[in-house]
Amino acid sequence: MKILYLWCFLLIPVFGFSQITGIVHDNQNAPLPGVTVLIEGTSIATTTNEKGVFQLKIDTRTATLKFTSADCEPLELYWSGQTNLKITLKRKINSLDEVQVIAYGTNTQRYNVGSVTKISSADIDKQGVTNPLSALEGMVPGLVITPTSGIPGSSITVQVRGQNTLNSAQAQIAPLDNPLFVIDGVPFAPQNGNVNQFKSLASPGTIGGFNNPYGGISPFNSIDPADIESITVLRDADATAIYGSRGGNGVILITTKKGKIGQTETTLNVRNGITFIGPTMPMMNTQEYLTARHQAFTNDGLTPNTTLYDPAYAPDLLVFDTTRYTNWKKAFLGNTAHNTNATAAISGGNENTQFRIGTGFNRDTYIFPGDFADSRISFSTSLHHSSQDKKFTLDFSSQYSYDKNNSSGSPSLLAAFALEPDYPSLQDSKGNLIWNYNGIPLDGSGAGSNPFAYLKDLYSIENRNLNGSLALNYQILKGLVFRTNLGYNTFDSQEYSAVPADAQNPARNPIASAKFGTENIMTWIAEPQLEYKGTTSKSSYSILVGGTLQKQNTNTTDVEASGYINDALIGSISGAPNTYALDNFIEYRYAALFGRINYKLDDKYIVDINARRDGSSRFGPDKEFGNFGSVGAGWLFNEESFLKDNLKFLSYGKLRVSYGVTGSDAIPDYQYIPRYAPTYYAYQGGLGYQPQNLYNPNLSWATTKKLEIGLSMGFLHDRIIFDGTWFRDRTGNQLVGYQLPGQTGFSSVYENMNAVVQNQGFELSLNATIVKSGEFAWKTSFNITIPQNKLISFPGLATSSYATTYILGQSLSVVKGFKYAGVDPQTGLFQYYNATGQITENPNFPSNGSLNDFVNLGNTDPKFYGGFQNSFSYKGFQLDAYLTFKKQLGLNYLYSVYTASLPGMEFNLPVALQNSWQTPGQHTQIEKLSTQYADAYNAASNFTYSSGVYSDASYVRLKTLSLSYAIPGRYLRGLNIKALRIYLTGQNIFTITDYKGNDPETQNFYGVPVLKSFSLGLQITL
Amino acid sequence: MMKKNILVILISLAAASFTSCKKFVQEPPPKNQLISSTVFADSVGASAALNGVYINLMQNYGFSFSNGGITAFTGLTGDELYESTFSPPDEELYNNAITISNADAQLLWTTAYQSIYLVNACIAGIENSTTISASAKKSMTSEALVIRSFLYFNLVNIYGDVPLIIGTDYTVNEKIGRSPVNIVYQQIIADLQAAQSGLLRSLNNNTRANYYAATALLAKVFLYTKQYSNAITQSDAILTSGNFSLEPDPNSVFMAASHETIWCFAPVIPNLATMEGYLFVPSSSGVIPPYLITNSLYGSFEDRDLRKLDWIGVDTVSNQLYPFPFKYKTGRVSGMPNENYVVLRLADIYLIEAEAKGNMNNITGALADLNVVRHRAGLQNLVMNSQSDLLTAVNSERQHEFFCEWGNRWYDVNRLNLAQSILEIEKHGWKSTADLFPIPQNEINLNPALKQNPGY
Repeated sequence: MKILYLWCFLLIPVFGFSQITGIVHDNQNAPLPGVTVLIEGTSIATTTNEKGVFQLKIDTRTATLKFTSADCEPLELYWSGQTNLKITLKRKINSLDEVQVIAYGTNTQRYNVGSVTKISSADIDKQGVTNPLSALEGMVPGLVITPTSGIPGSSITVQVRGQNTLNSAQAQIAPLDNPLFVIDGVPFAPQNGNVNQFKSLASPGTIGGFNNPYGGISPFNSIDPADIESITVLRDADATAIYGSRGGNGVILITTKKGKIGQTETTLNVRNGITFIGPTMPMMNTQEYLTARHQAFTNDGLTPNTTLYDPAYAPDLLVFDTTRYTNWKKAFLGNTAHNTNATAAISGGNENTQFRIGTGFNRDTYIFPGDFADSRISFSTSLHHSSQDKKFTLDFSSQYSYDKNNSSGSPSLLAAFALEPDYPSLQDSKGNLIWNYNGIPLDGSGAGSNPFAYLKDLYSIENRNLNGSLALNYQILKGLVFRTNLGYNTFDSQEYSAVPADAQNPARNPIASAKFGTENIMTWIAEPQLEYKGTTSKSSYSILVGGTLQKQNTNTTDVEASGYINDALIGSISGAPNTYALDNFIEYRYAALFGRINYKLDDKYIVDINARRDGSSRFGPDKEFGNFGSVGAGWLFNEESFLKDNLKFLSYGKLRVSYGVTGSDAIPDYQYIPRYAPTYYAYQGGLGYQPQNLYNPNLSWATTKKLEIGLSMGFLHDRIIFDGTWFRDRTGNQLVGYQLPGQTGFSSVYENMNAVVQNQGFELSLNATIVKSGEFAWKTSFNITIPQNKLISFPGLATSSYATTYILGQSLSVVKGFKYAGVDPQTGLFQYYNATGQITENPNFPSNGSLNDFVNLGNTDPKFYGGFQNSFSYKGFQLDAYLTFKKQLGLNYLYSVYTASLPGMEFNLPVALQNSWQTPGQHTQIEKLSTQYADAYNAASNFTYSSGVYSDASYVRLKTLSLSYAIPGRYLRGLNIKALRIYLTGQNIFTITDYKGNDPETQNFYGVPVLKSFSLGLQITL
Repeated sequence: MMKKNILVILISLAAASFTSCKKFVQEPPPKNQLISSTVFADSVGASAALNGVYINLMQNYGFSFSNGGITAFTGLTGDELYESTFSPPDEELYNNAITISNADAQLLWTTAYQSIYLVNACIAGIENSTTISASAKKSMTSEALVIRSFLYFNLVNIYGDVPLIIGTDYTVNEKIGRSPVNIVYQQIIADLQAAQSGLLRSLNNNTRANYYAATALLAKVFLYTKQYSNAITQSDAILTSGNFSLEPDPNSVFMAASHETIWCFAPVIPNLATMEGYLFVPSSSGVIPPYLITNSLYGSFEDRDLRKLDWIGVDTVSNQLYPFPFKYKTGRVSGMPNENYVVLRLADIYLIEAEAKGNMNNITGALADLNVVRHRAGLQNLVMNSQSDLLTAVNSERQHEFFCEWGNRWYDVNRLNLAQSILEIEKHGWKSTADLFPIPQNEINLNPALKQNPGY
C-alpha cells in the first residue's frame, strides 16, 4: 500500500491548489452513489453521484478523506495528491444476515425458524466484565441472569425461560435448571455448577441470616470474555431438540474468536479501574445503638447488669467504652477494590490459513481488608486451514486459563459489620487478636466470634481450564461433507481452606486445621457427521446425520488435616499429625444419533425437522435411551408479491412455528444403583460400609414439550426490526430429588414424578436505528419478557412431601406463609391474620397436611424483565448505556435481620429499626426490641414466615455506561498504529428501586451486593 | 439416484453404530463404592455394614444424637447447663423457647433417624442374604436391634410420640405418622427380648451391643414403663452376672478399662476423644468454659460428694468460678483414646433396681442398692422408712450420679412429673408444654402425616 502511495505521489505535479477525484465501489464492484466524502478537519465535503464518482477541491497537499454511507462500513484514507482514486467500501451486513452459530452449523436470523439470540463480542467488550455470563444480563429475552454476590469470582445463576423442575432442596431453594453450555462444540465440563467444595465468602449459604443458596465459585470466571466472538442462546424446540436430553433447559453456545484474512493485526487492551460498594442501609452509630439497647431492656422490664450470662448481662452498655464508635461497615466492606485487565491478541492469515493467538490477564481485588483477590491469566489459539482445492478444512481452537481466587474461608466475615459500634479494639498493634476486654470474652457477640479472626482464615481456589476443539471437514462429493468434531475439556480445581490456631480463641481448644481439595472434571466428545446440501431451481435443502459419544469423569479428593504444631506448617498436608482423606469418582457417558432436515422453498417457505435418539448412563438397564425431536416451519411473508407491492415499508416479515420434545437427565450419576461406600473412620480397628443413597431403578428422562410461535418484522429497510414470540414449555415426567422427611434416613431420593410444570410467556424485542444523520447515529434496542410459571398437574400432591410446598395452578416459586397484620399497639408484638381473617399473635403453622394459617403470599418469579440498550456515536465518540430491569417480589432486609438473631440483643441494627414499638398505643411496623428469648422472640420467629419479610424487589439498573473515543487516524500515522481508542466504563452506576434492603438483585442483607465500578481503558490496534 | 444412495448409506451407518452406543452408556458403579448385594454377600461384608452403624453413631464432628447432643441439649432445657457463648439455638433451649425451626432439635431428629436407617438397612440386608449362616444372621440382627431400641428409647423421651420406622422402603417410611409412646415401648421391649435370645451371655466386647446391654436397657425401659418387677428381674441378671463392678475411683468410671461399663461407644475420629470431652472441657484453666453447670445443680451436691470434686471441673477467670461438666476429661488425644463414650453402666442398674424396689415398697432392698452408689461417691449410707422419702432420695441420687449424662436428669424430671415443681422455679421461661421438644417444622412440611407437639 505504501508503495502505491509513493508511486502516485511521484506522478502528481506539485502545485498549491489541487483537485481530488475518484470513484467509490462496493465489494461486488458496483458503484456506490450517495457516499459522503469529507476532508477531515474541514467542512469541505461532497457526495458521490449515481456512478459513484466524486470530485473535491483542496488547497493543501495532503489530507485525510473520510467516506461514510448508511449501507457501508466507513473508511478513512490518507491523501497526498493522487488523482482518480479507486475506493472500495465494504457493504454493511444487514443484521438479519449476520451469521449465527446454531447446533452443528450456522444460520442467519433471516432464515432461522428457531428462537435464537446472538450476543456479539462488541456487546461483551463494552461492558468490561470479568465473567462472560455477566455480559448476558438484560441482553437476551427469556434469559434470567442473576449474580449471587458482588464477591469477585462468585457464581452467577442462569435460567432460560423459567423453572421447569420441582424443588429438590429445602422449601424455597429450587434446583437451578441450567441450560447446556457448549464452547466451540465441546460441552463445558463443569457446566454452570459451582466448582468449590469448601465454604468461602462466595458461598455463605442460607444459615444465620444469609440468603445466598446458590453462592459459590463460578467456573465461567475461567473464560476470558475477550476471547469470545459470540454467545448464542437457543431457546425453543427447533433450536434445542437436536441436543436431545440435554436441551430441555435451553442451550448456550459460546464461540471463540478466530483469525481473519488480511494483514496481521495486533490488538492490545489495557483497563484499570476501581470498585466499591454502593449505597447500603446505614447501621446505627453508638448513640443510636445504645438508645436501642436501653429501649430493649426497658421493654423487657430488666435493668442491665454486669453479671456474666445473666439474662440482663450487657457489657456493651456497662463495660465497654460507650464513647467509642467504629463504623464496622466501613471497616469491613468500605474499602476500594481494584480491577486490572490487559489483553493482547494477534491475528491474521491468507486465503488458506488464518490464525489468532490471544492472551489476557485480569485481577479483581476485594472490598474487604486483607490481601484478597481473584486473578486470571488466559491464553487462546485458533487456527483455520483449508486445502488448496477447498475440499478439506480444519478448525482448531484451544483455550487455557489459570484463575486463583483467595479470600477468607469464613462466610461469617460477611456479617461482621453487625458488630456493636462501641465494641473494643479487637487487634493489638502487632495484629494479634484480642479475645477479652476487662475480663469480658470478646467472642460472644452477634458476629459470633472476633471477626478479625475470619480475616485470618485462609481460603484459595485455583482453577485450570483447558479446552480443545478440532473440527475436520471433507467434501466427499459436491454438496456432501463429512465432518468430525472432536473435543476435550478438562477443568481442574485445587482448593485450600485453613483455620490457623492464631485465628482461634485460645480458650476453645484451638486446633490448627486445613483442608486440601481437588476436583478434576474431564470430558471428551466425538461427533462424526455427514451433511448433504442441495439445491433445485426453486428450493434448497440440507440433510444432516450425526452421532455423539461423550464421556465425562469427575474425580474429587478432600484431604483434611489437623493438629499442626505450628501455624507456619499449615500449608502442607505432611505437617499435620492427623489426616484423613476422601475421594469420589463419577463417570458419565452419553451416546446419541441425530439428524436434521432443512428445506427452503423459494426463499419463502422453510421447514426444519430435528430428531435425536439419546442414551445416558444416568439411567438403569432398559431405561437408557430416549427419543427427542422437533418440527419447525417458517414463512417469509414479505417475499409474497401481494405484500411486497402493497406494503413497501415492510422490508422483512417472518412467521414461524415450532414444536418439539426435548429432555433432561440432570440428576447426579448412579442414582439407580443401591450403593455402599467404605467408611473413612474405623470402629475399634475395623472399617465399615455405609449406605450412600436410596435408589430408584426406574429413573428415566424428564421431557419438555416446547411450542412456540414467533413473528418478526423489519421496517424501513430493516432499520427497525421487531421480534415477538409466544412460547409454552411443559415439563413432565419430572426428574427430581424428591424431598423426603428425615425419618427415612435421607433427605431425598431421585424420582420421576408425574407432575407437569408449564412455563409460558411473551418475549418481545425491538432494534432500531433511530437517528442516522451524517456523523451522528443513535441505535437502540429493547427487550422484555413476560413469563408465567405454573404447576398444571400433580396427582397425589396432597399426600406427597410437597403438600405444603406447592399449590396447583400456581408458580413453583409460590411463597406460603402468614399474612402479616402489623404490630399490636398494646403488646408491641408482630401479629398475623389467621385462616379465618382474625388477627392473632400466635398463628398456626402447617401441620398434619393442613396449611392452617399459612396463605398464598404470591411468588418470587419475575413478573417481567428485560433490557434497554442505547448507543450514540458522533465522530470518534461512542456512548453506550445498558439498562436492565426486572419486576419481582423478594426477601427484604428484615428477613436477614430477624433470622440472624433478635433485634435488641447484642448486635448492631440498621437505622431503620429505630422505628420499633416503644409505648402502648403506638402504631408501628416493627415490633418491640427485646433482649430475651420470650414473647418478642417467638413473635419474631413467626415473622420470618410471614408476608412482612417479603417486599417489592423490582429495579431498573444502569448496568453499563461506556464512553469511548477513537483517536482520528491522522494523529496515529507516524506511530504505526492503525487505531487507538480510549474508553471509560462504569458498571452498576445507579439503581432505581423501592426495595427494602441493600440490593434487590442479590437480596442478601449480610452479603456483598453487586458492586459499582469505574474503569479507564486503552485499546490499540497495530 | 445418487441422493437416494447417500440416504441409504446414512441410514445403515446410523443403525450399525447404534448397537455399540448401548454398550457405551452402561457403566459400572464408581470404583470407591459397592452395590448393596455385594456388601451382604458374606458375613464379613455384613459385619462391616454393622461397623458402619457404630461409626455413624460417633462420626459427627460436633454434637449429634448419639454423641453428646442429648447430654448438652437436654442439659440446657433442664436444670443442668447454661452456655457462655452466643448460639441462638442453644439459647432457645436454655430459655425453653424452642422454635419449630430450632437447629439443635432438627439435628437430633435427623441424626437419630439416619442411624435408624443404617440399622434397618443392615437388618434387611442380612435377612435377604442367602449366603450368610443362620447363626451369624441371628447374632448380627440382635446387635442391630439393641442399637435401634436404644435410639427409640431416647427419641420417645425427647419428642414423645415418634414415627416408628423399622423397614427400609422409603415409599412406606415417608408417610408414617407418629406412633404413641407405649407402642414404641412395646416395639423396644419385643426387640430387646429378641436380642437377648440371639446374643451370647458373655461379655467379650463392651463397645458393641451385647447381651448385657440389651438386658440393662430392658431394665431401664421396664422402669420407665413402671413394670417394676420386670425391671428388678433384668437388673438382677446383670448384678449377679459377675461381669461388672463399680469403679472405686469416680475418675475411672468413664475410662476405656472401666469395670462398670455395660455398653459404650468408642470414639472414631482420629485424635478426638468423646464429643463431650472435646466440647465441654476448656483447653486451659484460665478460660471460661463454653457450657457451664447451673448454680442450682452445683449447689445441690452434698459437701463431701466425690462426684462434685471429680466430675465437675472449675475454672477461675477474673476471680469468678465457672463449673463445667468434667466426667470426660479429655477432648483431644494422640493415639488411642483412653475414654469411651459410656452408654449404660452398672450404677444405673443399682439405681434402677432401687427405684423399682422402692415402688414395690421394698425399702430395705432399695436402700441397699442406693447405698452402694452413695458409698462409691464417698457419702454416708442413708437410713429411712418412708417410701416417698426413699423415692425422693433415689431421684436425688440419680440427679447427682447421672448429671449431664445422656439426658437422664431431663428424662427423670419429666417421667416423674417433677418438671412443673422443679423447673418452674429454676427456669423463668418454663411452661408446661416445654417437656417435649418440637417436631422440626421441616419434617412436618415434608410428611403430612406428622402432627406438632402441643405448645409449638
